[in-house]
Amino acid sequence: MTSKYKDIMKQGLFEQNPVFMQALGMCPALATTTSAINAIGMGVATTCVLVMSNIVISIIRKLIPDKIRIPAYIVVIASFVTMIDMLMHGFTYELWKTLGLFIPLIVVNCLILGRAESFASRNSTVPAFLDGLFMGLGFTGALFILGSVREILGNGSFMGMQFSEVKLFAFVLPPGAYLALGILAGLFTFVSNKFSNKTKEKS
Amino acid sequence: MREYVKTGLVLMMITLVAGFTLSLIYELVKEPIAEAELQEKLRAVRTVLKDPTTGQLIIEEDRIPYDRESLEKYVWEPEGFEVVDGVLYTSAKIRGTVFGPAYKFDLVDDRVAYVLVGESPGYGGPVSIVSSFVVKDSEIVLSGMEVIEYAQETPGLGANISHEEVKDRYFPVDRPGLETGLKLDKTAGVSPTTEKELMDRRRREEGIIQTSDVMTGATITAESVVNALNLMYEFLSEAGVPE
Repeated sequence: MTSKYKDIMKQGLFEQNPVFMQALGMCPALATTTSAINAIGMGVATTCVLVMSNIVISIIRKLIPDKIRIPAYIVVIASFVTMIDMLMHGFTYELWKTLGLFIPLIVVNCLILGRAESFASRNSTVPAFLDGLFMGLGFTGALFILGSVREILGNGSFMGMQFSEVKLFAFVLPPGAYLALGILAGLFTFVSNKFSNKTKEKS
Repeated sequence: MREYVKTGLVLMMITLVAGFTLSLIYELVKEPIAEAELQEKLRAVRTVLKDPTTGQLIIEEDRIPYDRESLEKYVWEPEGFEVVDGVLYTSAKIRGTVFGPAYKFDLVDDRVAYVLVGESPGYGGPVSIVSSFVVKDSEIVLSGMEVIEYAQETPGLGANISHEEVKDRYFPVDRPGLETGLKLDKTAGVSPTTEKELMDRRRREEGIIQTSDVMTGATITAESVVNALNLMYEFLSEAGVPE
């Protein structure tokens, strides 16, 4: 992997992590992370849309006049979201039932429009694909951590498996989502800073 | 002027390609979606045909419908009602719909189970349920309820309606409870109880469904299931069940 691609990976997963560092896509990050499995479902659906929209937007970027780039991006993103919604409805019915409300809302996830505008529209297809993939994985990872913490603390279970009767119910409710997100974002930044300081010292 | 035409044409091309691709995908998933919904309905029918106390099937295993054809054998067409655009019954008093067709299963001991599919508006969209009412002579019992669609309810709040511990709170309800009309404990103004016997008695005799302790912050979704069940009972009464 060339250093440019490695950089894209690092940016997406850690340095510019959509949830913990950029605070993008907060609505699904807070609302669907009541359990780890919901978080993975939402993360994977968003990653699929992000990868596909980044690829298409980078391919057609030179054809789109500057004035209509936002509506054009929205049409592309909304089409992929509708596709994912229909595919999930047909093939992963149980997950679709649980996440149904939030799938259409991926259209307005600012992470996707943000990456289209700041990266895909200025880069060729391969970097755009990688950016979509790693930003999506960073988003999924963050949602998974948040979902796991909330499920473990709030419901005494992990991935649906019950292991404790101690339930801090507030963590499943919206206030708990904010609390868990704040604490995790703080921890993530703390660890990232330590890590980057060490790397700097070494170099 | 030329620039405007050009930008318009570009946007039109993008939307045309998007529309065409979506129509292709729709054609591809149309059948899997219909199949997934049918399987969900069949699963729900099986679930509601269980005894609410023992959990055993109240009908022989080989009579449980397993596909569209075997389900159609149990279609019930009450006199004076017809299915128009999939709708069997609506009411002026209760918001919601009973979908057609309704199903009727003859059980042992002259008992009959009526299985109905219906919906009522929830928080984000309709909440669809399948329910069974077991009738013997003049007695009627709401014997089972399964939620089949709640995709527009908020995950972690309204979507909790699919949890077993929540669904189990809605049945069984005897005739006095059904006649009074089902209502949530919050609406009825009673405090939630941890005594199972009291909870059962309130539900069976007064139609009080206690959900406030197992489903916090989502009264509208819990209420929508109550509405759908009340609508179904109203439909059965108007269809002359029980006689």
